[in-house]
Amino acid sequence: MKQIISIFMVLFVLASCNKDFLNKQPHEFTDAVFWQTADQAESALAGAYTPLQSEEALGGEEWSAISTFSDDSYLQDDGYPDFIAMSQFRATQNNEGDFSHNSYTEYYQTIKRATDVLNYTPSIKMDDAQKKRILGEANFLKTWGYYELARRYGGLPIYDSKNPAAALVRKTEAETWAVIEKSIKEATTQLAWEHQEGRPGLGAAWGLLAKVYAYEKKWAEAKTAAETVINSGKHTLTSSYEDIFTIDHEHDSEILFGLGARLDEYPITPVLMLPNNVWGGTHPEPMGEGWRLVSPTNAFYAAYQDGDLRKSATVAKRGVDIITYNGSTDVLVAPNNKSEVVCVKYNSPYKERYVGWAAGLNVPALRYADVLLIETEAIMNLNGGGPGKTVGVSAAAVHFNKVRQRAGLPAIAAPTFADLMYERRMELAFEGGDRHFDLVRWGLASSIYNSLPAEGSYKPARTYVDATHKLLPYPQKQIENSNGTIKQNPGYLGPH
Amino acid sequence: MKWKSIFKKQAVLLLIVSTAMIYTSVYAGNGSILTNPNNVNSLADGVTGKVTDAYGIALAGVTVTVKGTSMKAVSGSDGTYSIALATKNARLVFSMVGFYTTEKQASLGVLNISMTEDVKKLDEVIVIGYGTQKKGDLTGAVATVSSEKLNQGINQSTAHALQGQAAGVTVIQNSGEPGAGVEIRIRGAGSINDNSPLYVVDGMIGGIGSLNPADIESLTVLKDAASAAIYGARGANGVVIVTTKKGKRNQKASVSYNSSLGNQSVWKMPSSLDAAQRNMIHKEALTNDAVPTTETIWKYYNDPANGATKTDWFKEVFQSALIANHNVSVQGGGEKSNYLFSLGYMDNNGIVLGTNYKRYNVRFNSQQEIMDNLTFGENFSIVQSNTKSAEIRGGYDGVLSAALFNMRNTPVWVDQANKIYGTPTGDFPNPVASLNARDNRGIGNEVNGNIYLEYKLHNLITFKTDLGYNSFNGKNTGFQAVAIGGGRGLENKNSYSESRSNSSTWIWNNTATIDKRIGNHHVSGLAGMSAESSLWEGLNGGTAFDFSNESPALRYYNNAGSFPGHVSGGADDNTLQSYFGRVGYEYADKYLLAANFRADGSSKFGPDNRWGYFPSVSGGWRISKEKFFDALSNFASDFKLRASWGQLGNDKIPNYQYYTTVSGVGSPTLDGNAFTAVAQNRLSNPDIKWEVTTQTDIGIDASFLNDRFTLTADYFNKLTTDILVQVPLVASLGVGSAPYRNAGDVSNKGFDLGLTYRNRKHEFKYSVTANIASVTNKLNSFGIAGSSDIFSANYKNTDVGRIAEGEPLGHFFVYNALGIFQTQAEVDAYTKSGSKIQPDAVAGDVKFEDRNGDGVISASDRFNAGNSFPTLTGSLSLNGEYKGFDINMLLVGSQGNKIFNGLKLGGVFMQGSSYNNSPEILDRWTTTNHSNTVPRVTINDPNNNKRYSTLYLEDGSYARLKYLTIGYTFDKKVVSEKISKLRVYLTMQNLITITKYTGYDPEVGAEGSFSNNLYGLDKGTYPIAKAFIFGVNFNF
Repeated sequence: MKQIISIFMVLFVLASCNKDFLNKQPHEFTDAVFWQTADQAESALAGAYTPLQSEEALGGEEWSAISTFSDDSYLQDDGYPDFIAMSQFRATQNNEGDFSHNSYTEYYQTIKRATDVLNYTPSIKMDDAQKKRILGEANFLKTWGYYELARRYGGLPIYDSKNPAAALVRKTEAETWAVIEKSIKEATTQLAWEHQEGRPGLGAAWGLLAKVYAYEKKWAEAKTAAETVINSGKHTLTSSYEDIFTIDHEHDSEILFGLGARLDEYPITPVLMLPNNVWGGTHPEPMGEGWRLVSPTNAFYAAYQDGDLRKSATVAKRGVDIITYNGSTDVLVAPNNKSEVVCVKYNSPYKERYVGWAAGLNVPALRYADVLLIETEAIMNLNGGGPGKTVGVSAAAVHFNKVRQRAGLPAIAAPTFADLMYERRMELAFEGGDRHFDLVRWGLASSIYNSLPAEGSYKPARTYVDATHKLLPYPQKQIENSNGTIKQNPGYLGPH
Repeated sequence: MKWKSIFKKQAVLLLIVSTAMIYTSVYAGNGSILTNPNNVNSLADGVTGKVTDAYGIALAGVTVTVKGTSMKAVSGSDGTYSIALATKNARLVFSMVGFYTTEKQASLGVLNISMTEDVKKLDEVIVIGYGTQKKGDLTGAVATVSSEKLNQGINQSTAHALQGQAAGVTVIQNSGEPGAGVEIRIRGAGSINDNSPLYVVDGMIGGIGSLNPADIESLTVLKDAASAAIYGARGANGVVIVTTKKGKRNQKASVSYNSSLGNQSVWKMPSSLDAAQRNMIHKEALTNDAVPTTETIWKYYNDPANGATKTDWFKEVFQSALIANHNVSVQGGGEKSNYLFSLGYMDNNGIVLGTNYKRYNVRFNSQQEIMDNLTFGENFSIVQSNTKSAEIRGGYDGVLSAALFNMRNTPVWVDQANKIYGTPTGDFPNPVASLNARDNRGIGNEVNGNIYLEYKLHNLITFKTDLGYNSFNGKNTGFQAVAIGGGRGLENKNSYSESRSNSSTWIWNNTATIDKRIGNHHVSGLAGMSAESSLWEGLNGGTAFDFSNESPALRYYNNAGSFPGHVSGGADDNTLQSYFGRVGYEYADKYLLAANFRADGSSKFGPDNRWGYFPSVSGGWRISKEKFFDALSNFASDFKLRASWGQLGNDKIPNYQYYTTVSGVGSPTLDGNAFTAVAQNRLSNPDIKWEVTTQTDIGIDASFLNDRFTLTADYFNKLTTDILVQVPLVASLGVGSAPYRNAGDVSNKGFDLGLTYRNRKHEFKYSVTANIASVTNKLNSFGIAGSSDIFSANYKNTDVGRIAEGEPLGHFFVYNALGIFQTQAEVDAYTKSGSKIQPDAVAGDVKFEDRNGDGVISASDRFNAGNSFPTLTGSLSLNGEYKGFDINMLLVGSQGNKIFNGLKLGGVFMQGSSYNNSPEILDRWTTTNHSNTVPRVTINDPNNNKRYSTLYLEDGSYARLKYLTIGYTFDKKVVSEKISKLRVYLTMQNLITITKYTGYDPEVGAEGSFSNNLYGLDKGTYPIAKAFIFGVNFNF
């Protein structure tokens, strides 16, 4: 009996002795053991790319839908009333919980992760060239995040890992653009001209810097930055405009920065634009697959100059144009489309066969043609030919005409600002909303948008008020989650 | 239809087997029908008589003992007995389970006796934490549910079976899908986190998801802090203790077989507009939207072919389905041992095409007294569950949404022979194609067991050491075949994904209990310690595509054509170490006192916050035992007052939250290939600790009118402080999830009431039990400066629920719809400082309340529009017996809860022209039909009528006849004495549902995460089935 009792006593003692019993470490990296090797820095840098390829950000739904703010297109999908209200300048707040909220979140994840790479990588022992490239890419990605958001929302909270409170207050627009300019300038000192597919090189850094200067109206600097790319001799225009948006040419030197894609993985730009019911039942096609998020207006279709090769590469009209899709070549039917026009710019992977949501086509985020037109614009501005002016500027003709002539259009000896506007609109249509942001920065949005008559019920007449609509309403959830320390943009419902 | 033939076969088989059993048994037992096995000595030297109950009904099986001797007799089926007497004056003791033992002075001759039924069962021993207690001695709020009650209705799981059986225990059914989980809430929601209770099965912490209800002996629910405090850090949401059936000592081997077979169907067939109605509504919308008749969309509606109705999608999607249940158990015991072995099988076909749940249970337990007072025992169970599920809810994939929103001029098949489906016009797939093409399966293999050694020292101290182990292996696969014409996601290519996980837990409990009675003093005590460790490992294989052959046998990664995905995997572990004790003291069964204490150390928290300490005290006063109560004793036979106070913890947060980690975040395409990516995607908080619930409970237990009427009532007040909550962060911090913080407090106050009335009219015996409970819940404060609310759930990316200071958890947060503008004049008159509040509205649009008075309708005008948690839950059960017949029914219901009917978006508020609508839209506002609840039809919707408002909210109150079982037990005389029981029964489940709710089912449950505390967000719930089930119980 005593033995039995002592056995139980021993069990009691045994069961309570191990001191480390309650210490459990996570089965993934902790901060204490990370940021030690070059490979870790590379995978952390890759972490900064991930949010860009999500459903909404670069090449995603918001990136596609933002073009509906312009006069080019409208949102074909009715399921986003809050976004449609914003694009029609009717919104008093930004309660749109999908496109706006998610892309905002994704861009900030890129910003935070890139900033972490910039903070931790310098102290890691590794090859200097590799370290410079990692830092340069991180600076570029960080810039890209702020740049996309600043164009939409103006002044932004600037992420600072050492000061979490910084995330709760918006800097002014000027301060924000200063941060953008500083980090992309740094990238131009770190990157090399040679770069892998899906990563930016020096061409992308200088090109983005040129665009940043254009938003800041620093025309001399914009010209220099753009010409650094042009004079490098590293980049040329792809000979055919239509080819740029094919898998074969997605890594041409014209693409300064293209977000990488592989089959069956995001980004999914082609399916977002793909119309639904292309053939109206006359040829086989998988139904319900095309998300037909955004469609061009009839007016946009009509705006092309005769002979512009970009027209057939960008748009197709019901009952008129012949397109190839899922192995059939015929006149477009698309009976469900509200306008008569669909966007075909990213359809190339689907010509032979519908290959699934994620067709594996890179997103053309920044192109050489864009930089050529920024240089043109800088020269025009420096020579008295800025927005609203009708004077022709022959000094701006050289690179302008390269873009124009590729499109099959005759050269113009002394292009005017209106000529530039046409080129930018047609060259960059459905590539992330530049048409709208251009019109806003040129101060021409109200005159163009407000004079446009309604087109059907899907693109009603709009009233753009510059003081309000030059910026989107700030995402409401951010205002709420900050308990009002993040303020609303002017002209929308507070807090201000 | 295949099920019909299966059903017929099984039914016929069942009928033959049961008839054969009855027939052979009758024959086998033929000889014994007229003989009395208890026949003893001649009457001359003995006593004879008849034993009856208070109503004069003969009682069979009463043991009659001559006091002080070993002489025994048992009354026969007519109640008569005869027994020899050693002396002329002897005392006879009459005893039988369920009756008060009666002693009578006897002399030679006749002694008839009537025995009194012991209905209040105060001596019933119930299982509590780490021990047992007599029901009459309880000082805490404890509810028990018997095996009988759990199995009256035939339930898929133990949690389902608990619905309506205990006051204050709310069972939330998330879906009617076979195999779908059920959540239990005890006394409301104390936390913003997981509010599910702790489950303890045969002393081991675990889950009850796969537990066969047929294996359960009893179930105890510990509701208040005093009862649950012995479970410390995990007891804050209450504790459910399950005890499985065991064999009994000195019992011959007996076999029990229980089999049932039934047919299930949808309790209410939903409907949608037919093609002609749809044409009318959509054309009206186009007209309202001034869409020029030249636009192509008109062509669709003007084509007569599109006006012909070809399909009723709901009838295609729903099926009548077979449910089968078989349980066999063998139990018995010798002088020093006992054992039980059971097998269970369930095959539950869902009422949605293709859904199915199969479960195989094996259970074994035994006890051996290996030396005097030293007992060894074990419990083992093996469970395999197989679930085939469907995409029921979801933005574009849900088949029940697809059934509503697909046009009915689309056929199911264009060419059935060649498997070409009718293609939908919109983004929802053809639901039949989706159900046929998507094969989502889950397989779970679970082994549970514990072994223990118990030693009793002088009937005073009991030592017990108990080692338990649980192992779970799960595999989930999803194959999507190509369905030509099936619509979005189905036509292009096939795909396959597979994930596996395994987890294991061991627990070691050591306890010492003491029990001593000295005169009127009764002292009891418990001291114990426990250590527990769990590890989970998971592997997710990613998605593979392009299987050249879709055969089920070839659905493995090896046979895929392409594999662009990214494999991920990880592990998770935690440990818990605990010390606990209990002291009880009673004086003269009158004054009852108990105190509990537990200390828990958990690996979930940092070293400085690791240990939590949880005390409780409780007391009871049996007033009915006091002298002064004697006057009332005819009216009230028992009356006890209870009070308790205690503190408990809740630690249900993920592991490692005090560490900052860098983890995998997908795989971007760099240089054309997948690249491993990591990031710090979560912020940590090194200071997190337990959340603590302090609960006070005051209750009474009473019996009236000769114990015919019993009552248990409790009032409770729960305050949860230091709630672990993830306060949403601004996105500009760049992380995916917010750190947990201890913040805020939530109060829950309410009452539980259980009433039972039992009576007998001649041979009709019946009882009625009612359970009612009410909880009022409120978030008192967030405890974080500046924070005022959290949006807790969304539907299609728009917030629906909110958690806010001063408001109950789980309320809907939407716009207030004041009605429909009947005229343009009303729109024009709805102004603030001269300008129109809704400038885009016209007659027929929804009028929204400008609650903040700023002259526009904006997000700031949303408000707490009602609670998703009921104000009152209740159940009523009726049990009756008449001769061989028995009838049992259970009615459950809730009152005062709101449901957000998400399918109104699209159903009543149009979403594009490619989708069908619900019949409710026919009552839309027009110039001639002045509806005040359904606005004019419009696709453009310039007034945003479709924004989430009170028009989406419906009263979710319901009453449902969960089951009605009618059984007949054959008399042994008819069957055989060798067959101890033969009963046949018919169970009707969910036969009647009374509700105003218009969705598929009022039992909506929670969508996705239960921790958002929003229970009535209906995205197209899988409805609960109505069933007719025939069964046989057979014991021999």
